[in-house]
Amino acid sequence: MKIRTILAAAALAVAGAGSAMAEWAPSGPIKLWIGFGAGGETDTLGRLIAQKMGESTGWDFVVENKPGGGGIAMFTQLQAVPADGMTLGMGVTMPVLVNLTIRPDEIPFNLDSFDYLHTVALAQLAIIAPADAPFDDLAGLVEYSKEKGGALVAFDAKPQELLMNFVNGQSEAGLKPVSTKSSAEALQQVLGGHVDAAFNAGAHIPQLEAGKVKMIASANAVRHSYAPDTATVQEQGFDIYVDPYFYIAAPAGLPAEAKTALAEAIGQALMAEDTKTAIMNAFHTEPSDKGPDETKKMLEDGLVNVGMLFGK
Amino acid sequence: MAVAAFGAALILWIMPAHTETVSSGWITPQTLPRACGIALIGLGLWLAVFPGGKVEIDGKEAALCALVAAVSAAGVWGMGRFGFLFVAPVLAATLVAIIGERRWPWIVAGIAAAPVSIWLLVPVLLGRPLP
Amino acid sequence: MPELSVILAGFGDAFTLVNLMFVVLGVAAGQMVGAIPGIGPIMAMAIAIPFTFALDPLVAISFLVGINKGGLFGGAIPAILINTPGTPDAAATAIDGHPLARKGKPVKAMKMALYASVTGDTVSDLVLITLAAPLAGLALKMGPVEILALMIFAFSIISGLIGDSLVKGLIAAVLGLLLATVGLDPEHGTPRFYFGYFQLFDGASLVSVAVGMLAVAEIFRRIAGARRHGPQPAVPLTGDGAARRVSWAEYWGCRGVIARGAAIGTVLGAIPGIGSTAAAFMSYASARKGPDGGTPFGEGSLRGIAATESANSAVMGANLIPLLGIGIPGSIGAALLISAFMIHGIQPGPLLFETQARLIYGLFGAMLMANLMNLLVGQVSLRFWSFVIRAPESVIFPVALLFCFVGVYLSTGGLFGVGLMLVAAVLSYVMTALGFPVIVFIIAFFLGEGFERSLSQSLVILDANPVNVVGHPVALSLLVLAAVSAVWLGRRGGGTE
Repeated sequence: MKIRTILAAAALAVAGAGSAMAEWAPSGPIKLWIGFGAGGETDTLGRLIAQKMGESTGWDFVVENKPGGGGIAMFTQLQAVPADGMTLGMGVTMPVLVNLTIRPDEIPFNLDSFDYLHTVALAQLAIIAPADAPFDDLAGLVEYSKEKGGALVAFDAKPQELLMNFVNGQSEAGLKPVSTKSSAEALQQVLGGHVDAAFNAGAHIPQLEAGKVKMIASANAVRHSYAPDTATVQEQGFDIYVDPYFYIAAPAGLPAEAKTALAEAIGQALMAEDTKTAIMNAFHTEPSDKGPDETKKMLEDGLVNVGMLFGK
Repeated sequence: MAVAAFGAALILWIMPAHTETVSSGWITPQTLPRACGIALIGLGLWLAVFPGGKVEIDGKEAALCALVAAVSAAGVWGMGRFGFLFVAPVLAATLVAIIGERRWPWIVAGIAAAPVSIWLLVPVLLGRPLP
Repeated sequence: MPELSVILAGFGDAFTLVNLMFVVLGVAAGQMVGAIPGIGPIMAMAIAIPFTFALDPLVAISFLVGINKGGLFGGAIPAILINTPGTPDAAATAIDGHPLARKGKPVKAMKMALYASVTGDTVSDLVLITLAAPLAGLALKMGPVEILALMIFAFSIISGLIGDSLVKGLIAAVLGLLLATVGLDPEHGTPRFYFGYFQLFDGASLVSVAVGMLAVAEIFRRIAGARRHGPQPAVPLTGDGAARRVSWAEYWGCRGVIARGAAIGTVLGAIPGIGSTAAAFMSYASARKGPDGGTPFGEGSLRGIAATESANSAVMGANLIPLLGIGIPGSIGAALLISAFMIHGIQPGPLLFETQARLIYGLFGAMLMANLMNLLVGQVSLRFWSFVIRAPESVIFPVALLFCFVGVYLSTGGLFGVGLMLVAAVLSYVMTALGFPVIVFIIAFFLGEGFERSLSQSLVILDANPVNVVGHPVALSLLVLAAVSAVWLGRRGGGTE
């Protein structure tokens, strides 16, 4: 907030245009690369943000999809383009951090290859079970699993499997991870009674409201806004969490003015009412308002946390 | 037809270099490729011993297809280098020339009108970028 | 079941002039993109979604449904006219559709495809409208073990299409499966066979491979052919009267295969994971085992066209069963509809029928309307395309290739996908020349990833002990059916050749 005020004052003094971005202007349309395919939630959200940024700044934004490896393909290309603020990339932390942790030599970039501009949202990850499951929390699930000789738990991303391994290691629960393609598929298996519990990032909320599933724990570092009474995995005695953030980055070495101007444009776009609604609908959470420094710190902390997940 | 058997051996050789070993689980990343490799060896040998089915290779046509494929590949490279709007008409022109079309209205339609209308439709009207 | 007044109000919302306009627009656009090789209805929907931000929710969704439905028929047009399916699920349409077109009856072939497509679609829509909730519940009971068994069953039916050499068919299937293993493995998420290309992390793109093998390879062949034989029209347009019409008797003669296709499509559509391409081939393969009624299959049989088109179109309506019944998308198209729902602030889920009954019945109204419009717009569009096809091959094929470039570039987000498409095209050409069935390769590739994942899930669930299948009666009976049909199809196949 403070930076914004100072900048605004500076801008008024310099140009009198009343825009905070007067110190830096793009030399043409700015590209926003999306690390996922067209039509998905990330894509929709990225396009909306680009549109809002265009409205508030008057700059042209062009959105391009660069799917592959959960964003790895996009970031690989992003680090190779000139750091002039004309190309930005939107991705999600987990696939990047996981790959940087387990195969750092094969990934052609590291955290320092980028300048971080802003977070977009935090995906809220929950552990759910069928409404009629004979347990209500993690301890209950662990007990049930021991009794049954291994409860089946559906997941759709590596860190979730690691979280289960962690729980197994600490409690000898013997949870059996079942790999699924998406939150939707994991949810379907819970509803069909094919697994005993599942990780889910949002798709479960309507089912929760309808009373078809119940929530066992929040897998994030904090509780979820829609279920304030459900404790986190950490609170339930397992010192571990998974925090997948969506964020926007640019190639490292961005001029300071460009960085500030862009970060501010993103921040403003996120705070627009219809962006909030879209984020609420797609990710069931508020937009996340971390600026460049906080975003960088979030990624660095995230890398340490993922390292812990892998026991490194 | 020993090609298939050769391919299978190759797979068994490539596999270790391009997969990662995991400790847990029933299906490792190698399980299915290995099964495929073994199946290919078996089937390839079978086919080598008992050749069956039709083989229709038309040398001249194959050569022409290879030429068309090479031109297309050059087109892909060119688009990355110079952009769609410049390369697409050249690519179309080359292909039209390969076919040997001589009626100029059709030539114009194929090499100028079509690429330009695609370009007007996609990046200009729909706002989706092309190379 | 909501009150009748709500249902009527919903249908009332659908049948407004504005909605009708957008449905017609959607259907026309869908038939157009479906007919252009390389660009399909899925990509058109993805492109259209941002443009629907400003529209009323029902209008927006009707428009998208129109695109999707138009694409169902659109894909058949180039399959029939130039043997390059516009969408992968029309690949089986080409087997009989193109020979019929070569005989000078392209309009007849396209009309048959249109009628069968609309019939299959309408049947599955009616099933959706009347039975969505209970069917969605049933579909939920299909767990990984059952899906795995269903895939094996599908393979066993499709194996009837392997052709004259069983070994070559098997090799093609194994190669397709092997290609499907490129990318992250489903159980552990470790990358395999990506050779340093991060674009391959998610596997070889379905669009690149399908467009390359099915469309681009044929375009190469035709360009080479045109060089040798000199330019000539792509398809002879002779005959009128009977050659341009599908008589009621001809349509009625196909009622059996259309009904079976609609049933196959509806069942596979309701269960996520198999897809419309496999459904189309299953329907075609089972139709081929029946009496052929005059023209043999593969030489322009109307029954072949009808079987395929009714099945692939029926998948569309049924795909919405899990979406509307329980809020889970059954296909990419359905997932795109979900994101359209969400942009308009509507959360799909089990309560959708209670909270949004009027909208849902509006959607149903729009779907039925779209079917009717598909029929009407289709009449115009097949005339349009049979006019376009009068252009010489020297123009059609280079332009079609450009469209493949553009389409694959747009859906894979880079030139890498286009390069992969060319590799797939060359592979397809070589396989065809050496007598390996490309179709079998494609189906194995399409089903491969899901197959490996289901296998991995099933092994966890069954504790890696096949005997535990006994606890899954549905899976068990599907496996038995698969064995029976393999034997039956094998024997019938051997007998007729």
